[in-house]
Amino acid sequence: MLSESEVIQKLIQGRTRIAAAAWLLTRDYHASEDCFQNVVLKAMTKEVTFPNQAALMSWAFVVARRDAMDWLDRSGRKVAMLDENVLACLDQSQTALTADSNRLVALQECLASLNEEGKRLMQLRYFDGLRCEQVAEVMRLSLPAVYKRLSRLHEGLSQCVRGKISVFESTSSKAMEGKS
Amino acid sequence: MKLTEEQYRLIQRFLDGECTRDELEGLNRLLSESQAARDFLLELSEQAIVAGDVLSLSQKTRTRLPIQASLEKNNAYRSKVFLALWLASSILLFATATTWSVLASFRPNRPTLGSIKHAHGLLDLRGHGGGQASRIESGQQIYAGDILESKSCDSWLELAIAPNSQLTLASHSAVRMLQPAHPTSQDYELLRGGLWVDSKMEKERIVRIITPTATIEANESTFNIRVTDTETAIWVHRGHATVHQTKDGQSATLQAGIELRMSLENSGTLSIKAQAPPTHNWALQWPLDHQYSYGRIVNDPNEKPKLKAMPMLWPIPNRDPLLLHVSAIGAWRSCPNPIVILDGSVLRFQGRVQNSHAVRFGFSTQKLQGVFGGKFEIDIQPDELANPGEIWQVDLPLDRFRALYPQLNSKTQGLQLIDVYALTVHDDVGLEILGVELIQPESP
Repeated sequence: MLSESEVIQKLIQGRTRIAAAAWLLTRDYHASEDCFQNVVLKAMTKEVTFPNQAALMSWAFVVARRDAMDWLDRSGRKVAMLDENVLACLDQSQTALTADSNRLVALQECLASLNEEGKRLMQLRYFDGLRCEQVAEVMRLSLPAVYKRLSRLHEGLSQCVRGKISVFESTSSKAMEGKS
Repeated sequence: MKLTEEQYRLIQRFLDGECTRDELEGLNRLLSESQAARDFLLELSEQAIVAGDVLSLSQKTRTRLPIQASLEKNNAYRSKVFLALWLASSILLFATATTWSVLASFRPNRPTLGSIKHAHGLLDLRGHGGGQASRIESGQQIYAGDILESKSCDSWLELAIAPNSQLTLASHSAVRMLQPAHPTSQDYELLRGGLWVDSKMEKERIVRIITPTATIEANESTFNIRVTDTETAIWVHRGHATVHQTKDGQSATLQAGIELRMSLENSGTLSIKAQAPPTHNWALQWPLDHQYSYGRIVNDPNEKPKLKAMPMLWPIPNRDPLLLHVSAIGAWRSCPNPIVILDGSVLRFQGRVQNSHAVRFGFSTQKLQGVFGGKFEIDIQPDELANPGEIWQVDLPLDRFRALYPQLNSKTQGLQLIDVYALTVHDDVGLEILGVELIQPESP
């Protein structure tokens, strides 16, 4: 059984993925943060126990999603929902992902190294929560151009993350070889 | 498999809420069949969160981690020196990633939803990312996502939310600052306990309190709210407040002098009524339901029901917690009227201990329909109680109790009775409470 401190520690470690699960519904960074915080709060205040990390994370995704739905309800926003089976598939994929701190560090680095236009796009789209059409208006671009740039941006970030992870892995395996 | 431009656009349109029904069906099909599409959507959501983190922290990170800025400029540099620096910065970044939640509590770019005016007792400020601080000071700013919690029956705080407007968090309560749902609102979520709202907001602006069962909105009003997981009770004292019951969407505007309870069990129209007048008598009624605050109910068919003291670690600032064995009853929960103490009121306790030991009796109060008014206690030695194993009854005039917070109130007269308790310090002597009564002076 996970102790309270282990529960908190593992939730904090899984914060990005839990907040991301909420974001898929809210599409609002700040609201997703609130949902994550609610998950931590519920884990601390409700009498729930978890036999292992997988059980904790499954519970956390469900709670985060419910909280995201509550937020949508409260703020009067209506969003198209994915099919329940698809959401379950996404949860499974989320749970299967390892809590890879290297991947998150790499993603942070890659985001930090974006050029100004890339940063602006990310800010408008994901931090300010603008729709693609609004982004196009602010950046004085056509809608297809915004789709194209966002697509390139995501692809570039994925490649950058993969590249950095391979550097991490080769560096750590060399360090292990050096030790042995 | 890489996503096509069309599939990519479909996902973006879905995120924008612009999918037609057919497009949504197509997207569901794509996501259920394609692992690549699922991975992409998960990756994209993760990128959105991390991008938010980076953007939030960017100002601070640049000053805190100059090494990172140099890395951005010298990406092509691949010497061994660079590798060492890169590893060092990765460690720093990793540390930032894992401890970001603590730093995030102080992020300046989340909306400020108030500043602490007064703080008293054991309190916690939990940053929106999980960071925690027990030291809360006047003037400290509170941001969207933060949770303020009062952790004992003698802790409370006042939060200035606008000029001439404030929230007062009662004891054993928690409130979360919410990202405003509308540009003209300031939103707070009362997670548990009580909140006193005194608002004189600018025209067009509202303060919105969200509870598990209702949403309350006001512009210029004074009201207090108490919540549990299943019920919200509101008393309006000045101006008016609009309430929306979450269960069925019913709403009403409440004027001063009105009270309303909204429960998950409610059915039919809202039961709006005039606030109940104060009462000066109260007795613990069996069977206990949600009235007791702490202890274990023992129902032995051959004996009277009783509330057995249970161990509790009482937190003390900068010291080890104190082990107590406590039976406590929430008097306010068991009586629809506010229970107001008069000069000369007496508390009568019936109970039993298994070993000869002093028992500490106490009660907590609040100002009538207001905030914490102080705690009062008295130690009764074994010779004033019956022999171990026998039931005793003690009548304790309230003026015999010592005020633990004389700066708040040294006298109990006019205060509202909240919790009543009996306890032993350190030792478990099998303390059981069978009855408690507040008796007003003129009662026989």
